[in-house]
Amino acid sequence: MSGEMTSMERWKALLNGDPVDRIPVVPFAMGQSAIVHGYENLGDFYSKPEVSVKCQLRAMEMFGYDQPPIFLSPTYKGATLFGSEVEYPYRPAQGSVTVTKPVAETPEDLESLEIPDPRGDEKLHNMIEIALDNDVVPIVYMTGGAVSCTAPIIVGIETFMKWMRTDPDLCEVALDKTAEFAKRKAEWLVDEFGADNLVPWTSYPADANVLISAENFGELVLPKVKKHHQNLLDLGFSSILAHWCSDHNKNIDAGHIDKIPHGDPGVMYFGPEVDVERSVELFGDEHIITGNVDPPSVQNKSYEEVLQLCKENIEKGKDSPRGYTLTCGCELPPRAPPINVYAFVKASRKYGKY
Amino acid sequence: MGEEDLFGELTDAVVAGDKDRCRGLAEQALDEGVDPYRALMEGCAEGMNIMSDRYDEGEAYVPDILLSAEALYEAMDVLKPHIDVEDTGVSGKVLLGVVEGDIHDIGKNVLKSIFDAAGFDVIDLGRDVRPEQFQESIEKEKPDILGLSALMTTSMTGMPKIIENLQKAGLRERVKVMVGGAPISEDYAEKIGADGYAPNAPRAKEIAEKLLKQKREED
Repeated sequence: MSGEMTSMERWKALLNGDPVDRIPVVPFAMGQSAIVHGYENLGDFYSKPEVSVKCQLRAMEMFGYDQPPIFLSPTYKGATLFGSEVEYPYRPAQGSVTVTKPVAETPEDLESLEIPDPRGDEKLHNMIEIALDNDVVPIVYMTGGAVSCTAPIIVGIETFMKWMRTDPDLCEVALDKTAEFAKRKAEWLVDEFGADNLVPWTSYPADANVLISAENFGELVLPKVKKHHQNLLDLGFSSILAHWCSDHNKNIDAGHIDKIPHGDPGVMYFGPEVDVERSVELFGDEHIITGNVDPPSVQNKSYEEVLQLCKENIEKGKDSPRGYTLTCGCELPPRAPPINVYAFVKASRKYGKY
Repeated sequence: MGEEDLFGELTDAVVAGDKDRCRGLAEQALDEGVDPYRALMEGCAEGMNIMSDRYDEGEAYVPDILLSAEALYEAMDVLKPHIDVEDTGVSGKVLLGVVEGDIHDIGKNVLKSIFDAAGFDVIDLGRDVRPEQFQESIEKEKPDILGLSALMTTSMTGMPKIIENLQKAGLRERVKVMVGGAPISEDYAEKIGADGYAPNAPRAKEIAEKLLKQKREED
């Protein structure tokens, strides 16, 4: 190899199981790319496809990281298509889109709620088109059947949590609706763009054990997530990037995560609560491991400290059998100092060469 | 049913998250001439304490706590109008809110129920609260403790601004500030000049009691 691989060469090689020159850096930067671009808030980033793609591509090039654009549709996980009301983050203090009024406030609302046509998501379609025109394979949100894509997307999260004890059948109904929506969305995207041109991203913050028990996860969520992931694989996706956000240690201990298909290889992306060493030990033989610098440190600590944290993570993950990427433990904080993002790339160049 | 048995039943009903039973038992307490404040504190609050401990130990989860809180409030609705404020010996006033830009309020809501059960006078400003709202409420309500919650790295940056605003307005010495939420750490709390940090809602009660004691000694 005459020189460094390009970012997309490195990312694609990782997913294909081919050798990479150094550890790929996938910081999970979304909103931060807009802030470094000069936007004062994230409103346009989350509502305008061209802004989202432009900011992410330019930040990737500027920092030299290997992360393709990550797309959370302007419909916010389909919330607006279902009929929920959302607020875009046009205030500087806001970090993401928020659901201000879930569409289903009563059991009757939920029962009568129709599954929307995902093809109404024209902005997502537009985002992907622009990305493919720029020769990158984007990561696209496709979670279905989990608490995280259901509450507060169609039902308020407290309502959903209470139903878990008082009316679990209603939870089943709600989860089935988002699972079916995600399935149709994935089918549509594959028809439009092909499975080889997208990486499905699933994310499970509200399914973590800080909120619900492993027993609840196993009984209620696991069957639906298993089915949804299998659907994605049956559509032709070879890898699912699953962000097991927050603390899923009890779900791991219960064997739940192991039962969920993630692809060959999948990309296992745990929060900082699950150490990279543990991820490698449990899942490294089958999947790419990614992680895991804790986000508040990236936002609040010095360049030297972040570089050191990246080094420690690289040492734990570098020799994982199916590959490893250096990543922030959740979305890279939008207000993270740019130099701390560069620390990720610097760490890969300095400590992550193969 | 004797008083102690009734208190025990109330405790069990809160633990079970059975709001109908809680309301019925609270009404029964009033009918039988039981001191409503004791029914609340020795019955309902004890149930909330048990749930708080279970949550802290990983034996109960958010759905359980939310239902217990709902049951607690059902009993409080019945009992509170009959409680003489002077009998309560309310320990302190707490102002709670989730900082601007953040709508994640489950943690704050759990905290509110635990504080309510502990006998604090709780004022809840809700979620996505702007810095000036905190300041106005502190001027108006004169709380002993300000509790700030954030789940996002973007919104956590609002916490130091709120503390700075209080300093500029000459209000900082009047109130103890405690912070919490997923991205918050003890180091961060110290760095921004907060007086206390709690890693979760159950621990926050201990911290609040400690801060209140400090404040009383300072006043």
